Amino acid sequence: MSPKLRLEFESSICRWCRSCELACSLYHEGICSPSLSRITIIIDQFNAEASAFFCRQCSEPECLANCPVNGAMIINDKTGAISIVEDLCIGCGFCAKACPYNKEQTVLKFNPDNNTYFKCDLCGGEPACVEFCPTKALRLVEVEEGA
Amino acid sequence: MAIYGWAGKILKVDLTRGELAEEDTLKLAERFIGGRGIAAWIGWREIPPDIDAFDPENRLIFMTGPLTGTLAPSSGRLEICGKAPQTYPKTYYTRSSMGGHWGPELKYAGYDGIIIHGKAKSPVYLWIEDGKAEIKDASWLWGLDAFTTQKKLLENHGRKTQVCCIGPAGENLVRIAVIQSGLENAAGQGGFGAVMGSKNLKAIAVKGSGGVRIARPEQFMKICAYVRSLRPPQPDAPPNNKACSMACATRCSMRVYRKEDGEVLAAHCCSPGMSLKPREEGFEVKLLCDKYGLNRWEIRWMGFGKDSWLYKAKEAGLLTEKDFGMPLDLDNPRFWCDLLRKIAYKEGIGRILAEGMPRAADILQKTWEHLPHVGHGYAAHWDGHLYGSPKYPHWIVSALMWAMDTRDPIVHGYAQELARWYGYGRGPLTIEDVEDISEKVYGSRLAVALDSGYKYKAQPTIWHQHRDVIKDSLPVCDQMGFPLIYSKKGYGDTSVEAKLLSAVTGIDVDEETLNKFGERVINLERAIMIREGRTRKDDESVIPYFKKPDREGITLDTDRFSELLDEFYELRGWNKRTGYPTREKLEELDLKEVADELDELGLLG
Repeated sequence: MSPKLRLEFESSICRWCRSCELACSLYHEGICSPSLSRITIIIDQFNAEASAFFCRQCSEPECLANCPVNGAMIINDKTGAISIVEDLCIGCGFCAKACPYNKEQTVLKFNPDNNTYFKCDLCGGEPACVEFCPTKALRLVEVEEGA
Repeated sequence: MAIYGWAGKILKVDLTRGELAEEDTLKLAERFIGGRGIAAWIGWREIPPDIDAFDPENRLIFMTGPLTGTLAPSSGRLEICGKAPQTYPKTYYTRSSMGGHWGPELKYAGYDGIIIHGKAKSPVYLWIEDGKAEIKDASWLWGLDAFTTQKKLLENHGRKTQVCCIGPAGENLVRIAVIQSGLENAAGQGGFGAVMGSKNLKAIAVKGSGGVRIARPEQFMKICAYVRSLRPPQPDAPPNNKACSMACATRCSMRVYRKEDGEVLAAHCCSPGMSLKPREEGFEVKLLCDKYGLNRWEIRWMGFGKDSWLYKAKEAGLLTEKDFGMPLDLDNPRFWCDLLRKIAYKEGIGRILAEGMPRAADILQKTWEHLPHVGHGYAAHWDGHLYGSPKYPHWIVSALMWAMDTRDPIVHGYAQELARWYGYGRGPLTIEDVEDISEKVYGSRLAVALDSGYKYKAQPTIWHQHRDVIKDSLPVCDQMGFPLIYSKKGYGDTSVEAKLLSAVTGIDVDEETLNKFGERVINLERAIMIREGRTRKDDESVIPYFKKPDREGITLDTDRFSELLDEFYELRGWNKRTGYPTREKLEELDLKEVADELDELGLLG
């Protein structure tokens, strides 16, 4: 069975530079924009806390189960990442509503410019966010299927 | 047509009339790029030369650049400019830079910059969200410290909002008041917090869902990775070592601490209080500087360390308990908590100190000889005498940069980098290495050679002045080492700013073109100074400071420095008697209208 990959975030060593958000939107959209990033970092400076929001690539993804369009959400063979096929996405938002971790629209986000949802697809196995994280606060880890 | 790099608009705010307008950025960007460059043009165009910094006609200019808000390493910055209350003996135009997340957020909200003009009738703040701006009542915020103000605005507008604001020091027009953002970002030098206060502007809160479009995304990503390879991110830094600015991966000196009561503070290099005992009370001193919104560089020189003003004045018996209404207990954190409050609220001796040290000495009619100020109202900074490691002859470049600036010049690119990489025998590069690099970058080994004396010091000064403009206009950060002259392999790469800018904007610019842009802005800033009354005599005002012996007992040779000044003006194409720029030079730099106006005023060289 192919390995399943997942992002992990260690808040205490995050350097607060938000390079991950910029690298992500740059890689996927050609724009530096936290709103169009598949990872969202919120730094609460006055409490010295950094939070990261991104898809945890669930083994039983509610988003995929609730997508009404055949083929609009797929699981990548190589990485196990769940991704949205933007050409097929109709922008209904069922995935975003179904995700239990998406209360603040930080995991499955909507792009009004092309009326589609977007989410982390692990960049095919070499995530730009991980490449540009200066402290390895973001790492790509392998998880056992079903874990 | 899509715009790359720039947001495309500058917001214009008239607080007297309560009116908002917009200006096209790209028309200005053609000649002045962004940040310090565009701000200088606005300063020239709009700020009447004879007014005081507190006049409502003064402009407060917030200006990002095309790289702000992108992945370009250390680019999360902006420049804040206008007539500055801290400058001495009178107020004149200068600049201050600020990092953090506020500048990027402004661009995500659709603006490259903001020009504030006039004075509101009562306290207001500016709220900007996705291309819309609103002047809002701030009576409920007035009087609050700079941290509480930010927290209240975050509660109101959401936690993704970024705020810059003033504390009580700015409200009370203290000449060393900063504009604060987050825990540890501030436009420190200049006293621009007091300009905000004079305009009844408490804060600017911004939130944006947009982004910065990149013309060549793949190439840009590769260049960002390459620039990082020249200044590796040091993943082993302590975990409380944080980036002060967006997109900065380099290890800087910012550390985050938590007090025993849970309150969070952050400290950079210039953080008075951090060395005081007990530690918890020292933390409080540091926090109060930020909450009141006081310039920590000035506070440090006021009384921290044996080379500081109060230390020396106390030792000489010139200032006593009588002047202060309390014992001058300079190592006691409680003394500082009291004194900082008095300065921020202008109580007792604080009323005098709030004028800044040079003016305070004038009011007190004593202690001038103990001032740590080099010139223009600014205290020691990489001058090689009271502060910073450059030794003779390297501090001659510092002295020349000080002579020509309107604030403490950023000598980091030359002197701090020499200290990091050569370090007078303690760095990774030898003197032969840095001489080789000097020949490549400055055109001669003499720019750094230890026995070069006053020879070939105007050339590196001019080169660094241009590079400083580029750094402040794109912008990037000097603490990351821009311009990247050195690296582990010896020579770094001074062309990376041009490469970053080209990939972001899609407009191909080479290093030489950027250097020429730097020269244009230096000449424009010189024109602003000249119109404000500056002459060669004012440039020479830094000479007495450098005539004091440095740590090795070496003093400035006035005659040779005077010859060096002649050489500098000639290389610049300025009149060496007056220091005025010439029509030829201004026209060569595409500044004909500036030459015409100076001509009418009889101020051409």
